[in-house]
Amino acid sequence: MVDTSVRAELIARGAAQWRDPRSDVREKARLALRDSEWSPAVVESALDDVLFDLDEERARKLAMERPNEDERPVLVILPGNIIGPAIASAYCAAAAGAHVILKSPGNERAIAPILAEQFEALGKPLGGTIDARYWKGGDFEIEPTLFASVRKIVAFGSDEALGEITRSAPVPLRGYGTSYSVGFVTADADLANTAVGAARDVAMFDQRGCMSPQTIYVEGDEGRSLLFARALEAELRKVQETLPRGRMAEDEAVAIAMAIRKLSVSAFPPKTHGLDTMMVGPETRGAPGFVVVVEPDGEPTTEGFARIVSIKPCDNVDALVGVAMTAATKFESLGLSGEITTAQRERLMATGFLRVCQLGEMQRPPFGYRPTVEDFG
Amino acid sequence: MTPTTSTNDGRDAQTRSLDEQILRFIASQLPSDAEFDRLALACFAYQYERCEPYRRLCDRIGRSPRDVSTWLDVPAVQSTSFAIARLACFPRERTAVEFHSSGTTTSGERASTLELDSPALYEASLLAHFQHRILPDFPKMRILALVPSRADAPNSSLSYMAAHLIDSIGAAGSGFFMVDGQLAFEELRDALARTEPAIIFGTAFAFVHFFDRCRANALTFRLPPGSRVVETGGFKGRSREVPRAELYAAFTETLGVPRDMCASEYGMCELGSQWYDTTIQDGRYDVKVGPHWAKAIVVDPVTAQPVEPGADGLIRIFDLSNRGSVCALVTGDLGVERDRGFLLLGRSVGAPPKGCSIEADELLTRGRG
Repeated sequence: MVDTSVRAELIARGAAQWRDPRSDVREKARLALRDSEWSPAVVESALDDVLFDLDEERARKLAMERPNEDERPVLVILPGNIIGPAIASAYCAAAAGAHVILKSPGNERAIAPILAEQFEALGKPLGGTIDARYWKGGDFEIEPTLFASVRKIVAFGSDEALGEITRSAPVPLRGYGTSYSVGFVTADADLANTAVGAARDVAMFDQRGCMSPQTIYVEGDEGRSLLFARALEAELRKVQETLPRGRMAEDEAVAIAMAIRKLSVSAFPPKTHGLDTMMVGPETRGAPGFVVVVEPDGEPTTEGFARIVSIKPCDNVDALVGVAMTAATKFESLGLSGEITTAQRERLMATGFLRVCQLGEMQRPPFGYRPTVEDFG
Repeated sequence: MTPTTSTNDGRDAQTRSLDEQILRFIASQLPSDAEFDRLALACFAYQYERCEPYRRLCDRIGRSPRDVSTWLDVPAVQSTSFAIARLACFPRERTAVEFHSSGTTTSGERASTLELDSPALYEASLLAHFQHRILPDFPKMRILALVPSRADAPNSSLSYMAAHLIDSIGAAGSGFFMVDGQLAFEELRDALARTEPAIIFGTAFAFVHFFDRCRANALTFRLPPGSRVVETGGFKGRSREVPRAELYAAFTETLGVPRDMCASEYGMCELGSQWYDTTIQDGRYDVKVGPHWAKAIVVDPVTAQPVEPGADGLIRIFDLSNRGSVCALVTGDLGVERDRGFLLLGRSVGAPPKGCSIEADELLTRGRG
């Protein structure tokens, strides 16, 4: 019990350091990521959020719930498109009392060593529980031996890649595969306020995370969708200042141009309201800063990357349930603005959404959501 | 434009008239650029009027039939638009043939669809160009198709293509050698042992699979003179990938077909016409040449405007045989103009990986043999 209490106190202290913009870990992360592919403002915002709800009481509860006796480590293959899972994995493992090997992605190798250093500095029982490593994925000299030495693998990747790991690794895999998120704006929601949160959800990590909305359904007719799209356009323009886009990946400008051409045929006719139904943001870093397109209702458009978002009219929650049931898309989160009933929420969850949260909170999942503490137990 | 009287196959008089003009142009021995332009502008006017999603694109960029004077001015759709909008100039109930691209369900990517109200243009285009580039020296030849049959893949343009070629110019002994997605190895082995020349038409992944089986059974063939290979379709993640040079070496080593009798086809579900290497005709490797009723240029990937000669970019196509959908489209394939054709340089990178996929996908790719 003493160990659990000390561990919970250290976890809470470590989490508070990540939340504090003036802490050493934040300063180290800021320096290490200053030339990364995400803008500094996006990095700061992400670090502000990643452990926002992990206090000592929560840590103590989790630590008592998930006692782990196995000394063998859990291997985490971290993603390269967002930075939250590295920190979340370290703290989930800590809450479970697990040793962990954090395998950094090729494009971001700083966070895992910072976490290992931080845990050393915090001391036992956290000290020495993180082994931060990097190797180029697929290394036959390293992986077969390593895969056999851990008790579990937690990996972020496409379903195909996760299947490959399952086939090659002799231990259980907890995989987080490719999925897509959407938003829903109810008839009673305030469009201008909703657009503020939605713009943030779209902008974080330039929409490369699976919790970023790619399609936002707006209850009502095409006109209301267009009004929301105009509000979102205005907010995305502002967000270009507060959360600027990161470095463009090679050929990203081409991909954006191709996406615009692709979506030009599915947008509502521009003359419907005398307003265009495709809004292309001012150029930033050699490509349009964002694209908002209003399209007919139906299956979600999963074109989203680089702040490309589709707005679609939707009759009501029942219609959204119908769309979600028949869509060939694997869903992650549903970002909501306005009120729905508990029964409606349950029906939406039954269609495959893993989480229903407020628009504006989509990229700010609670601690232990993805990965979970159970993944390390 | 007022719809005119329909005829018994469902096409109205204007459509039939346009089709007849295009068919005449396909059959023409001395096609002129002026006639191509005239037909291209007629097709644009027709499609602008009848295909609403296409008209949206044209209106958005402010270009209608009144604003264009050459096929180069006609707005082009992105080929992937065929996955998110119905790009057809006729009501769905008049669809006679429907092709789907291979798409995935979990990635969120949707399959492209090409609908035809009549197969006449597609079939005329396919046959005329195949005979010209691949079989200019024989009226008929055995065709051994390493693709699924029409029954197994009713919406595959490749299966439709192979079936029509077999029906039209396939000699006795022609057929499909894939059943339920599996290679009919013994049947193909026996067919290859016959003494009449043959066209082996198949996807790269089917050839790789067949060659693997041949190696395991220490089998090689010496196909009769005149035999040829047409490879198409790429790998699409369905088999271990092998370098192109290795695949073409196997055509000679395992099948006994000389390199200058092996050609690659370039086509896609969204297009009615195909492009071929001119290897069999003139010994040039890797230059893809289209028919005179379909023109290809290389465009800047961002602006979709033509690049300077010799520069690479995306391949943009105007295909008259796409009368029923949209003739002008920008593909996702990179190329460079060469000798009145183009060299294919590969797929454009497209959208960056998303959904936390980067690192594990790298692992997957490297893990593949």
